[in-house]
Amino acid sequence: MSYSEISSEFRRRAVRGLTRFWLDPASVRPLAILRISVAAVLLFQALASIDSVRDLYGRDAVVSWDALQSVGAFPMSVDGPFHLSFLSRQLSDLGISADHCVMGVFGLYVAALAGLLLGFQSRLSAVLAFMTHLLLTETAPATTYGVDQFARIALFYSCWLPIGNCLSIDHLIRPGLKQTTTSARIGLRMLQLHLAVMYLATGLHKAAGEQWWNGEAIWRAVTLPGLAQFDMSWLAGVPLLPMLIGWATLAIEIGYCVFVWHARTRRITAAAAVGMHAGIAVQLGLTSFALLMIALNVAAFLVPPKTVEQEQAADVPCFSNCSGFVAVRETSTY
Amino acid sequence: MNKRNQIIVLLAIGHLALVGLGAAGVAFPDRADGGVPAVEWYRHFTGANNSFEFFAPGVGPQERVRFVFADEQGREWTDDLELGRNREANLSFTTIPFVLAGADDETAWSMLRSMAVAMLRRNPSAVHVEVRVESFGIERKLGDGGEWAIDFPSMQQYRSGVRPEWILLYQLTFNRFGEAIEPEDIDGGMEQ
Repeated sequence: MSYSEISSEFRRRAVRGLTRFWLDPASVRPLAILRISVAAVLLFQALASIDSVRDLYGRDAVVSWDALQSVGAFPMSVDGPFHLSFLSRQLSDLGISADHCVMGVFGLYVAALAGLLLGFQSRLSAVLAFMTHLLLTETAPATTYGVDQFARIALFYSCWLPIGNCLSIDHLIRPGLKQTTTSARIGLRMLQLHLAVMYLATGLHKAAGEQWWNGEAIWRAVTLPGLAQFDMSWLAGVPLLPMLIGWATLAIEIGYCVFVWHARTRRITAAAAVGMHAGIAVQLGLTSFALLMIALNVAAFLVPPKTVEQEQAADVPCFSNCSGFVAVRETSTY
Repeated sequence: MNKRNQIIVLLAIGHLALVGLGAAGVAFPDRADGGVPAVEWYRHFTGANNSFEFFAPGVGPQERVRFVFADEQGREWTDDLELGRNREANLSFTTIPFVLAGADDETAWSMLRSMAVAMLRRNPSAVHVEVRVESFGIERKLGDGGEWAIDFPSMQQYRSGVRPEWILLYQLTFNRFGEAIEPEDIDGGMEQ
């Protein structure tokens, strides 16, 4: 076989592999799970904060609109269209107070999340949830943390992906909605790659400091009064344990982007990430953040993206062949 | 692969490239340096600018804001930022000290004033409030002849009996009009 023939064969297989990786039609079920779980977690967070809406987002909140006037450049500033003060000014002509405006936006956010959870007008619900979440978090940047950052990412994806095609009221109303689509595959790939990039980055950022290597990061995290859920001061007497947990955290986060793609290691990798986040929920009390990360992992890597018919046709265990990484593996052998 | 799918995949890859750059901490030039504002807005609004530096490269000492109120009779009482009815709500409130720690002086002052006004509104009998920003840790010298800093005790220090405590970083006192007042202006003075 000549060089040009090998080169041509390589290109052909590479294109075929990439096409399968990105465009092989996939079940919409993982994205439906994403929709339901993300909406459930954010509803939990929103309802937990319902008594504090004015204190968090109101004009006279603990950190008021005026207090952050010098933060951020337009349009991310207090004068920008993505701040509740802008909407409030527009609505004041109609006699709607700033307080009512804030409560209205929060109410719309909760309603949109409920729509998302039930899969009712899924796309519209996703856009509304994204826009209202954006308004609330841009208005109160001093009170947003990890869960809000990932909520924004998840809701942004939800605006574009076929999240309502199954396990939804939309599907009950329109039974003809496609259950296997190319856009579901693209969406799933984006979610998977985003998670892989995120874990790699956060793992490398951690590995750059010595605290994650000598266990001090774990020691600090579980004993700081704002995070500690139990008295873990005894850990100081067994420094090997936090050191091993620190190493395991680095291994899970950095190894994720490698091992989550292979059929044989996918479930154990995703399960390890889920376990890590469960540990964060229990030990640090960051419940909604941990639940959101678990939801993203489950939707991206633990829900089979093939339909039952496809699985039966292929007659192989779903996880052995359904990620599309098989296609990449084909190309990578050259 | 048809044209439509090609475009969609290219857009997806473009978005993920921005995510990758954000994760790598690559800062985009601002408008004055030839940057494209629309790209920066897109990164910001979609979360593609996130560098995912959670607890990285290490876990720093915790900070908190505490409020010491006083009424006309000189009676004092305290409160903190845990204003929510449950932990989920309080996680949002207790993020404020972390943002405060990274804010410039002007923004930090505005935030402290805002907190003082909000807390005085919740405590109508108070005539002024002392806003205390504290850090949980121990004072430690950074290097030979370096500055003193607050850090959390290591496991070894803890084993040798060193215990962290809340250390006052700075304090400001505000009256009900949101004006900063000096301790000597307060009737009867204040504990420093």
